[in-house]
Amino acid sequence: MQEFRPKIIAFYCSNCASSAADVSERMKQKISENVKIVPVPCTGRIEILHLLKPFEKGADAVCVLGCQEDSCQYIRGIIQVKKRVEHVKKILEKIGIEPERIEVFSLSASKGDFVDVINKMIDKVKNLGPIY
Amino acid sequence: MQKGKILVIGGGISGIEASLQLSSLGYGVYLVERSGDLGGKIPDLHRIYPICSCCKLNTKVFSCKQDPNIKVMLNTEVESIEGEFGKFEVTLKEDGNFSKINVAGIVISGGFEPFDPSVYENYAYSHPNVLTSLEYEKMQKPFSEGIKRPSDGKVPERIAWIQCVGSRDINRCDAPYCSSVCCMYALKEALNTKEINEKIDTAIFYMDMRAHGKGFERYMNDALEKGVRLVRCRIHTVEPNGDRLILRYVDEKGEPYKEEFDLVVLSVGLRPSKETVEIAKKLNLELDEAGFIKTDLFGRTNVSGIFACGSVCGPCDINQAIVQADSVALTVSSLIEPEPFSSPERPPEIRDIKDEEPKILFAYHICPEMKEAEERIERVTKDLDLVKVLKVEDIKGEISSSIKETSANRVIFASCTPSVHKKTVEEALRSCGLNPYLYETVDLRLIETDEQLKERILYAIYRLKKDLPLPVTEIPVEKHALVIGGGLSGLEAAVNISEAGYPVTIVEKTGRLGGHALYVKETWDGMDIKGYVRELISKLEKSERVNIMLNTEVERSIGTAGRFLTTLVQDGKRIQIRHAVTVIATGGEVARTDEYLYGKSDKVYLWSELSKKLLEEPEFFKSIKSAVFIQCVGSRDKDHPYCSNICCSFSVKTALELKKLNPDMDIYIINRDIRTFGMKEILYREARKSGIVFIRYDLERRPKVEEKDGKLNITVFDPILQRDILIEADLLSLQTAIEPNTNEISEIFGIAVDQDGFFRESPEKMKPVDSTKEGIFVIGIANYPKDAKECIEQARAASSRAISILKKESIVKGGAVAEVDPGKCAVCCTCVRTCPFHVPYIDHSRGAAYIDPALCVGCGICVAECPGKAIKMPYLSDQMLLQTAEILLKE
Repeated sequence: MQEFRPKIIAFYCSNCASSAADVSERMKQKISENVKIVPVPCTGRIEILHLLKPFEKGADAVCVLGCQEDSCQYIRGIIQVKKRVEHVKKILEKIGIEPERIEVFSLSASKGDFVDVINKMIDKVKNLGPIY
Repeated sequence: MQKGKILVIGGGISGIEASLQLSSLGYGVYLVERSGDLGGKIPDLHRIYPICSCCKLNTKVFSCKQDPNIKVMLNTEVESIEGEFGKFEVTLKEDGNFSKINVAGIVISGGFEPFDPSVYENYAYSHPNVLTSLEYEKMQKPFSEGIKRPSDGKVPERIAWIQCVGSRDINRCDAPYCSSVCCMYALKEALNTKEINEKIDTAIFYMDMRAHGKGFERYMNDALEKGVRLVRCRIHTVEPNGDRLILRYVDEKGEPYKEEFDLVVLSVGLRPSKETVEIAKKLNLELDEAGFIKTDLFGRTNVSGIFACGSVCGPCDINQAIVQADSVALTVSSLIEPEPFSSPERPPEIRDIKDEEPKILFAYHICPEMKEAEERIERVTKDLDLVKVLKVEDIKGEISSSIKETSANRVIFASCTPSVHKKTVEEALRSCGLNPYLYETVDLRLIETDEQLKERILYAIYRLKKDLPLPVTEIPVEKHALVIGGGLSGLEAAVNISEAGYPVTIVEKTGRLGGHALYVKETWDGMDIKGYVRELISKLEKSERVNIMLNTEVERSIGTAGRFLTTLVQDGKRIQIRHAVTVIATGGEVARTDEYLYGKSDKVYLWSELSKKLLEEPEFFKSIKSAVFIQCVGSRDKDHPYCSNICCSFSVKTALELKKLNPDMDIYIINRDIRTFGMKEILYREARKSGIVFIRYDLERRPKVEEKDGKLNITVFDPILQRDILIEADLLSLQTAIEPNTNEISEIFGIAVDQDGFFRESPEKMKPVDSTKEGIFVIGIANYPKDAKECIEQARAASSRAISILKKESIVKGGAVAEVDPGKCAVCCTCVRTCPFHVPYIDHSRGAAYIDPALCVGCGICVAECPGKAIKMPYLSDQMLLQTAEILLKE
């Protein structure tokens, strides 16, 4: 059987998460082809529906990569999206999808953890298996 | 007036900032840097206190390199400087080749170098596991090897920091001053170590913990909470013991201790850059006793036409270096008429492209070593719907000429960190008469396969073809400045802006100008501050361009950089003014207290009262036999968890003043730490030499004050004697916290304050006088307590930045902004409550919420929260976000 390679949509903000990506790039890390990264000015823009839609279109997981709560360029963006992700988790549970398939992460350039959190997500979803 | 271009020597943060500011004031700038890149010491740092803003440096470095009015000259040294003010002839040397340039003025920003600890045998610096703080910081960077013991690569279990290595020491290293930044960087390094691995024991050995700046005290408390140990002592020897190192010390009680560590970090002090001092000597520039370049308040050296800023003039942190650089640019502009390399052209009108077929230009910018990425781009873009694929160096120039050549009407810009190039791409589009927001970026990072890149480009193409037009507004700049607050900082700003030729309205709440500065005899270094303030006032009163409004308050203000409309109230009368910039300098007040018999005994003074009395009745103090100062009264505690910065220097300075009036007076300064940072340390040394007694106390054991038989009886526990001592005093001065006057003003202008109530700086952290809203500058005590010199520097920096806005004819706004559809808006106020920047308001004439596109920062939070879906963001529409998965997951 072919190895399961989860399809993941990752929204990332153009501030802290982007800086973290910079560090990852300098560490010569790569992200797997099945992970699609989508830049947004601030993760606060992302709505519940935007987070649910990828599941309908065949994504195995969705993640949101934003700022540290105390360093958000837009002050509350990351806090707002965290609430929405919590809500999406509940919806997923109701329709029989594991809530772990959506996560939000606070990144920082000093840790350069962009690829690390994505890899963690991949591992988690690998354990869960394909969504359908 | 002299006219010409400017040479900036040194490409660290102060040189970068000075060049950018000079360029925005209209100068052509040669920026000369000895090393291979700009940035100075910052790229070597792991983080900058308190959050990471290394990434913000990149934006500035990049702006320098792309600015047509800044010629960045790397690997270049100054060989010689001939001539005089207005006509300097400078010979530069690059790779053995010589070239000559002519400039009217020179700014020296050569920065610092870390102290070399090898002169001390006792610190065992030759041992592999003894590092300097800079060496340790490099180890902390995420792409380094990680924190390891150099001798054997083991992860250290215990790390010690030794403070004041090459600072506050006149015996071995000739540094009578405090380097001002080491306490904070040691805390930062220790705290970051804890964050990486909390099991590592971190101990900082220090004499006084100087956490004197904005937010520093909170940072220190946080470090303590997370387990960073602070040990008060002066370490004299580091003893190697195999791979480990032994530290022996005695605590305040005289108890001896011995601890072993895997790593010892020497918190080395700051020295002026050797190479720069060489240049300074050749130019006959005056140096101070510590070897830093001596300048006046405005950054002028003793040689006319030569200026200096940043850490080459004395130890300072990044914020202050930026402030000084902006201030120096202003000084230059008051003495030299600008001469640019190329003058800006007025761009053509923005053309409507609604009916044009989309034609997309693909431009990419990569580092020379990214050969692989370049080949991949060439392969992938071959069969995509693009009019041209172009590798760019000069982003603005090459994109605009390619747009003209291909008549493209949209751009995709790909690079490693596209967000730092946005402004330049926007300028390129605008210069071709296109809406500046007709572009998308593609991130070239973390790509493994061609398919990945192709997907990202296709997604950008998809978005570019969607929803048009994007909102764009051009705001004509109102050539008028509003300054709020008539104290030292406000006055300085008003004078500078008016002298640059712009009308200024200065508003003061009370009936007179001058603020607290009128009650200060002189600054810590002897400057007559009230004389200086009087001079500023008389300049303003004489100026035709200045409108002074006393007994006036601000009622309301709307708008942004370029266009504000503010309502003022004077004697019950409402007056509206239009202005392009707002400088807020509302100052602060000394907090009152009910501790230590204040208000009950006439011998107890608040420090502000003492200062006034000293000025008005110096004779009074001749009869005083014993005076006591208590520091941190209701300060650095739960109610005021910050350090008010200037109180230690005030007490030391005033104590010396009292000693001068009455040499027999006994003076005691009861303190928690003496925070006489920087050159003020010299004053502290003088005070100890003159017999002033310093006694330390803890929050758990505060001094007690009673009044008996016409004398104050002050009991304090002396940690060295380990017993209570009793002081009989005739006078007690209480140094209470400084509280900011920011409450109402921050609400009226919709700008943020920090946890302690002081105005917050721009979230970018590299703009120390910019508020959270564009075009509003926050300076002086209301920004954070600071001494007169720093207030003046901040006011000048703000003036400098304000003038660069006032100079413009118009400001372009728009792009990624939110827009309310009045038909769908149910006036529920969700957006009004959600917006972190207080932009939306209910416009009753439309019966709907309104978001000013000029003020919107484009985060999209309101768009996502609006329950009626009445707010749109064409730049990142719902449709785009909903189709993301469909496009990207297409097999």
